[in-house]
Amino acid sequence: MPLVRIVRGFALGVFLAVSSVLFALPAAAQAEVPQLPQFTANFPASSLVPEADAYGPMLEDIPVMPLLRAGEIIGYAFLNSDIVSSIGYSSRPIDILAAISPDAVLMGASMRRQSEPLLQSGSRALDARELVQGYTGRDLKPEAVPGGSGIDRPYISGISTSVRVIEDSLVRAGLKVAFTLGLGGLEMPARPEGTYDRVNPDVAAPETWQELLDAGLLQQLTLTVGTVNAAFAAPDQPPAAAEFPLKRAPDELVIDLYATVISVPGMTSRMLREIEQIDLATMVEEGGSAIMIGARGPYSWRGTAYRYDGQYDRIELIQGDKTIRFNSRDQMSIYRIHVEGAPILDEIGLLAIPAFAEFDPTKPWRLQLLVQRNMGAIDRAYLTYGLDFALPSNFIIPAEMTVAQYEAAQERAAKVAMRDSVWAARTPEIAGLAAMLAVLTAAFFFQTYLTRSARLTFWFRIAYLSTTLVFLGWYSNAQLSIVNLMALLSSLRTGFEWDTFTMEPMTFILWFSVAAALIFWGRGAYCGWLCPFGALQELTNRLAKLLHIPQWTLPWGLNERLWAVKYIIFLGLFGVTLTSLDTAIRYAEVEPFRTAITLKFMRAWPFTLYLLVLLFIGLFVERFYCRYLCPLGAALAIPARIRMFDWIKRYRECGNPCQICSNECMVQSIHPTGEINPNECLSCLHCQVQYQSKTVCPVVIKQVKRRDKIATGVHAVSAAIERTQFTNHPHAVKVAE
Amino acid sequence: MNTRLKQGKAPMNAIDRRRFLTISAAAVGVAGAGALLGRNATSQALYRWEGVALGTSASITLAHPEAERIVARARAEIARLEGVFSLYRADSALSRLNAAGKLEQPPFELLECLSLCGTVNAATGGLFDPSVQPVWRLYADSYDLGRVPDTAALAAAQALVGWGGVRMDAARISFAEPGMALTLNGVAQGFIADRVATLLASEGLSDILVDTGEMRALGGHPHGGAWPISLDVEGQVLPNAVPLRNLALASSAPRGTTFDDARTQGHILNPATGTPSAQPWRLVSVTAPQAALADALSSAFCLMSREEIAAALTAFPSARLVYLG
Ligand code: SF4
Ligand code: SF4
Repeated sequence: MPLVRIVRGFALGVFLAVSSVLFALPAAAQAEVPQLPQFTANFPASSLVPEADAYGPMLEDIPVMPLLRAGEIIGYAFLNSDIVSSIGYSSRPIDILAAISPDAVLMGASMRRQSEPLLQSGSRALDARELVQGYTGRDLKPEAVPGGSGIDRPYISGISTSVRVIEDSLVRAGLKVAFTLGLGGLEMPARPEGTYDRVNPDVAAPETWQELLDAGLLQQLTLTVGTVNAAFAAPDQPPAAAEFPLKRAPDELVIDLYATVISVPGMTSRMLREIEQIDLATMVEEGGSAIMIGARGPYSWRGTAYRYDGQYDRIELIQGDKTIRFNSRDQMSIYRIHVEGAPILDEIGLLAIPAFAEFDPTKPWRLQLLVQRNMGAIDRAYLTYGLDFALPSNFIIPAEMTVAQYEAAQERAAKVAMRDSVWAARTPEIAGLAAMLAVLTAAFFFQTYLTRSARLTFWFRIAYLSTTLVFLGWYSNAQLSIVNLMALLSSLRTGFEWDTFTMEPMTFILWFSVAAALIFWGRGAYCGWLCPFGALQELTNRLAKLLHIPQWTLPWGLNERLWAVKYIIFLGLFGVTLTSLDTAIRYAEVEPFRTAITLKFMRAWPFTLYLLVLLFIGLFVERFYCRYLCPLGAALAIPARIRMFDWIKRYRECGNPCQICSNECMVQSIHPTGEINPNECLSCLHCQVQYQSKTVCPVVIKQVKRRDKIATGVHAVSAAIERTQFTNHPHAVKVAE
Repeated sequence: MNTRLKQGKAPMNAIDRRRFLTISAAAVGVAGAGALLGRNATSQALYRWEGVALGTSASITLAHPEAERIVARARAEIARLEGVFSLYRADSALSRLNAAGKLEQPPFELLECLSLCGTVNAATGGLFDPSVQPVWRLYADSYDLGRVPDTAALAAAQALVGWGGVRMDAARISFAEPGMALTLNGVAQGFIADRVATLLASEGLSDILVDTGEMRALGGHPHGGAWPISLDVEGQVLPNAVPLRNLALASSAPRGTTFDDARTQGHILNPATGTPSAQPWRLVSVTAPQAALADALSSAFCLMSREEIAAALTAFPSARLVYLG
């Protein structure tokens, strides 16, 4: 017993210590780094696509490597999980290396890594490799339209989740690559609204010229003879420039220039007459803009050169790192601005900016005006002046989210849709599970009534376990596994997401119920009733008993020490998970669940042999695997002490001197001293039947006798106690005394 | 922060020169890209962006709550101007001009910059001359192959040099001779510093140091006083040698970068002779209101004696020689 205590304490301590380390790690440690180079390093290009002979360097804007043949690009390789979510049944990504042609047809696909229980190598249920290779030749162009091609895989219980995730992630990742690289004529869908600032078309501009200036909707640049002469006399100007000053009064105008974005609807309707508005609408193309420049004064912003080549060489617009020049062909002149208080301007032009210039009216821009001075015949000096314009914020509808946020939302929506379709497909199974859970809960709550009848309890249990094995296990593949916990553990380190765990409905609901049951009753609800492999062991053992196969009861001391083994296995897996989840998942094959339940014995012989050995031992030692080896059982046992109810009732006499229950507990979880070890008890209810039995339990018998006032009861009691003489028990001597 | 670029052989056309100027470490402390530095809790922390402009390390230092946004705008401007001046980029206005011998609709910045070049060219008796590019290129190409430039080729290249052969107006810039080419490496960095400073000033900002290889101070140090700039004379640092406030500083070291591995062929060529500078200067530093002017002058002064420099400076009363030696 001391040994077990130590191990148990140790296990819990380590668990807590490690969890606190995990929680302390930043969630940002999530692997955002594309894994494509890692995968391509171990997989020659020719294996992916026979015609290819090499991979090119990874592209910058999307994790894609060109596939090369003699240096020519013949396609593009990508890893589905780099581009979209491909979390499958196992709560782990399914990694598929794929190639797409310049015509958006998949040229090859290869399953590189996955932990799906049903797609294990050697499984005859489904050959993952063939499945994935089947995508070669799939044209993704039809998928680009809403609704896709409509191709869907048939529903196969349990496998469907994995198959759907493969389909979904390959098609979506391939499409994203095609969109980004423009393959097969596919184009990036227009940037979704809400991810960029937009001009608010419904805001009206103020009415008078002065108000427009005050609001910043018009910007003004005024140059006088004095300012220009001074600027040309500056030391960085050619000395000759100062020799040709403008010979007018210093406060006289050179140019008084006004500018605005005329294509902003509020400004269009304020500044232009209806007929001009129509002309403007014809001139400005979809996605383009137009600015207005109006000026008075002797210096023309149009200059003269445009008369020969159409180019305005005195103005340019600067926004960010872009420079936009204007052409007289894409402009219209107006002669008056019908706004109250507008000055009479000499030159008013509405200048169109084409869409490809990527001018953004919501962002600040600067209009540059070139002022040149002729010095003699050919020499000229130059100055530039700038006018800064920023659309007032009330004209801007700000972006609701960034493109990254939008894409994340899209990705989430795709995941949810995926999950919903899986959940919908499994509705009957979910209903069945819900019914089972309801029945079990009722049985636990009303156990006193149930356990009054030994026959009822026995047959109820046999029926329930059979349902668990056949329906939950073999039909629905709802077998929990330590792998689920390991995935959870590693996700705590890399960034936990609910979606990862809700993909598979049965597993999710079961885990949720198990977590709840742990708080109320401990490990027994699952291990005793809902674990398909547990049920398989118990039912086979029942048959063995029926055939009078001798049962071996382990000596108590050995039993107690062997308990520790499962904790050690669990801790080992826990430790390996911290370094590599993939390795840990391989070691998790210590669980025979996949072989026995998901793959129904149809697996490579070493796995099947291992399973048969375990079941064989189980014929002699009831629940041998559960008691001594199961890491999942160990994990569920660790929090057993936190359960809220001690609902398995005991008498003071239990264990002292009575050993009936202790002898009959199928998993030897009742200490000879009477108390039940909650880490081991599987809540089979057998001892609760005894507890009420008028024929077995000495305490009950005594009570009955006392009630019946039958004097010979004393003999009955001592006879009952004698039956319990427990030979290999340390207290046996004492009891005998 | 005393970043030293590669010394020795100059890559082709690279503005690969050593950094001669540093902001004193005491004033800025250790700074990485975007590092936030604060002297005390009450004053806004200094923000420093470090990146690259025209192939040289550049930085912008300021103290402003929206420093990141401001720097983003400045970087866009730098990127835009690289599209005008860069000789690395084949699509830049300057590269297109050099390749075709003419350029229609030249960017205003190119006109302005060339206009300044003309001014300095006149004031230095032709010693500042961007049209020296054919010779520069011949040196760089030859030494790249480990050879001394061929005399005949040198003479041919030298024949193409001449500021008078550059024609420009707002509609077009063109060369008189095919094969002519310009390098603005002696002025463009300063010009970009000025443009960035103008942009930031138009946002109403002050107390910013723009360093694109040459420095332009807009106001003084945000925590008070001028920006303290240290000079680096061939590895020997003169701490806080130049206080900078609303002023630009440019430095040139004729032998800071050399064409050859023996480090004898300095990268600043005399346009009159087509040979590296014969002057003994290790570092020439000039301040002026505009970084472009300071930059052009410091480049030209590398080829001039102390007396010639003094004479040239008379044309630029606002410029000062702050270090020569
Ligand atoms: S111990 Fe393991 S195999 Fe046994 S019932 Fe529990 S989970 Fe199932
Ligand atoms: S017999 Fe009692 S103690 Fe043993 S497993 Fe069943 S419920 Fe638990």
